[in-house]
Amino acid sequence: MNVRSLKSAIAAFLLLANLCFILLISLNLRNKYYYDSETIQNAYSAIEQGGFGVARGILERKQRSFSVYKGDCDILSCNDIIALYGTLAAHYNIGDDVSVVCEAGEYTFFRDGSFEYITNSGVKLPESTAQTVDVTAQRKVYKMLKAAIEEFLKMEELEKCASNKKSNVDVDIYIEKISYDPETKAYIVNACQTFDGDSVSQNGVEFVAYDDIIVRASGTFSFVYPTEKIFADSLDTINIILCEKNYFEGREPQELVLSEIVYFYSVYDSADGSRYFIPMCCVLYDRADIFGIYNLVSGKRE
Amino acid sequence: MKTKIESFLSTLLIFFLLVSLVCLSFVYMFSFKTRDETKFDSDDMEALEQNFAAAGYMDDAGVDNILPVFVGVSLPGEGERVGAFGADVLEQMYTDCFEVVWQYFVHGTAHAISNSSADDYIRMAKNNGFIYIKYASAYPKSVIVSFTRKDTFALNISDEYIKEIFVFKNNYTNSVCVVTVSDTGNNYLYTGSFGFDENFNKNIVNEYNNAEGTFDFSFSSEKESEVFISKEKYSDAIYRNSIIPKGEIFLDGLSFENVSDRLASQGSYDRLLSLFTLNPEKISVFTESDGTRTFFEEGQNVSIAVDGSVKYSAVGAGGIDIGDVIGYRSENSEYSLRDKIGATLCIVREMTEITYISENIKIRLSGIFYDENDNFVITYSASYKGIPIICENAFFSFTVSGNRIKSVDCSMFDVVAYGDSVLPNAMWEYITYAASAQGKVYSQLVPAYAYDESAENVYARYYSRSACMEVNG
Repeated sequence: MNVRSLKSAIAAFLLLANLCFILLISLNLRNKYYYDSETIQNAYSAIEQGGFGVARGILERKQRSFSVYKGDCDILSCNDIIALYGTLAAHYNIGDDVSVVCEAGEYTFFRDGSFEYITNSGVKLPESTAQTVDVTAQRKVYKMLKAAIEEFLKMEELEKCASNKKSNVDVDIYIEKISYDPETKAYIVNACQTFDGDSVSQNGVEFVAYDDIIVRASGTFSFVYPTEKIFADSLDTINIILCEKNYFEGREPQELVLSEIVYFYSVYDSADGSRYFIPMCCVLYDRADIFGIYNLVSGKRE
Repeated sequence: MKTKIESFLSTLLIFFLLVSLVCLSFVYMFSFKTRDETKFDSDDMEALEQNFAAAGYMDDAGVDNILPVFVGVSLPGEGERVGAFGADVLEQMYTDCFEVVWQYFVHGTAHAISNSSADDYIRMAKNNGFIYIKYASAYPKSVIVSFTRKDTFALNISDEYIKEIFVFKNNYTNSVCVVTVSDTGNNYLYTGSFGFDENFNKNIVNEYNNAEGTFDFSFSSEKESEVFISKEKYSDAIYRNSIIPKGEIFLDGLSFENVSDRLASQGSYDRLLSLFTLNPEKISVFTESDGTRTFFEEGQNVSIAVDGSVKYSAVGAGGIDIGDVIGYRSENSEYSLRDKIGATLCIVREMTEITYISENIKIRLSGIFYDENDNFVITYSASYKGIPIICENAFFSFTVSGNRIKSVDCSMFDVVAYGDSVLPNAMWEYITYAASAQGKVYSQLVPAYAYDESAENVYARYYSRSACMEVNG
């Protein structure tokens, strides 16, 4: 065998070995993030015995990995953040919710991580959402309100201020729905804060805007960004569904179809002054009045 | 030339394939690797849930609930001493002094010592300069530390009982250490290296010297040679670490108010019943001849007397679940001493809100013990600006069996301040007390108000802590 043939043989062998490794790696990664089809079939048939149903597609989806986020819980200790929004209200007492006043209105930062903003302008606010029109798909309105909300929350300055500079979490605000009230001409925006793309709370934040001016806001938004990200040893989808099946065994209703699992974070304050964001999930059914909320770390149904 | 180029390219291709093979094999190996980074698992969640519940009751718990009856600081000898009995200055001094103490309690090493060793160290402290903290009652260390410094809550702190604390420079080791004394003779020496030298208390002395509400003082043990009764009789009657203030001490006069009116509204009834887990839709009400209204529901009842006292009791398996009160359900159904105290403090806070008691009244933990039926009893007393209010019944008394609060007794009152008066001369009070004392009582005298609802003005006087009676009463 001449040198040329030998080189060709070696190259062919190496190419084969490379392809083999690429295949093994892709299989390995798939197994890591997806259940194999046999497991899925077995799981569906085991879960669906006795009238409990699961919508197709849930188990087939990529398995999520979650982090627990940790940071300070006391906005009062972050003067630079308070200064972004105004000055501490004169009627503030230590231990109370934190009230911050600015020219346009007043912010109240509650101790459970939620906040509220009310403008001084006395504009008429929408009383019900019954007459509203969904305008989420209108790109121009979406862009205008996204910019208005980011400006109102001072997202850019918030990220740059000293208290949040040490945060390694990608914080953003995601608009879920925009409704327009023809009577008051106000936009009602349902949004939620995201950490690395995941919703921070189940309920999010509701903004009321007149064009690009926010006149009211309330909901959960972490102005103090988390500084630590810890890998969460969390429950996977099959186990969540099995827990739900066990929960409904011997309870009414017997016939249920699990339609969706929604992930979000829940706030836990520790006595040492730290705030933890714990991954949770909400299990939804074909009946709107039935749902289950799980703490993905403890595995407990809340 | 063409052959050479072909040969070079094929060699290059083999090299490239070889390198990529090595890289892929590494990627393959690492794709199996489980994440060895720090994980937040169910044990961490359990600890956080407990801590989260604590964060709830820690809003109600604090320095007020364990405020010492006296804090004193001294430079070596009797040169410069500053102490406080009450008012805001007591809390401020205590908080500053505790900045030294907590490090020994949390990170130091504890050595059990005998009574005689404790006496030796205390004698050394009195000569070398000290920080002295005297609590109203012996408290568990975990409660003292976490109530005073809330940021230490997550730390695992032991429960040895502490009534008195001396911080001083130890001549044997030439380092600053802490001696703690309890009623039961369980004394500890805490050591550790935290960068304190013989000037550990100098800043505190300088800050509080001449501050309003502070005074110079001596210990009774330092006055044995100055009394005209026998030294033996004096030292048998008076506890060696009793405080004898120098100069005049002015304290507010008080008049006491019944809170029964504040409990009489339907809103207050509803809040009380809800607090004690009675369902208003299922209760039956009985009014006794003396006007006491009793609400019954499935093995538990709440009585509200015309004098404003409130009693809750449960029979059988009933009672208020500790977990329900603090908002945390323990997996193994075991709650710590601190959780139980925390649960009682949640009820105390709600009761004081219902009766909107004056902010000058502080609720102080006054007793933690087991009764004759092996039930755990936690009592609270009232103090006015840190000065104890002596009352026949505890302001609040809780009986806990297992994880349930089985009974609650509340004898609340409110106060209104009227002018002030000067405390009697302490030295004469001690001499009088020692002269009339029979045998070894090792008592100490503390300034206190005696609860008397009928008196127009009640002034602070010295009362014996062992006998609980006024010296010149």
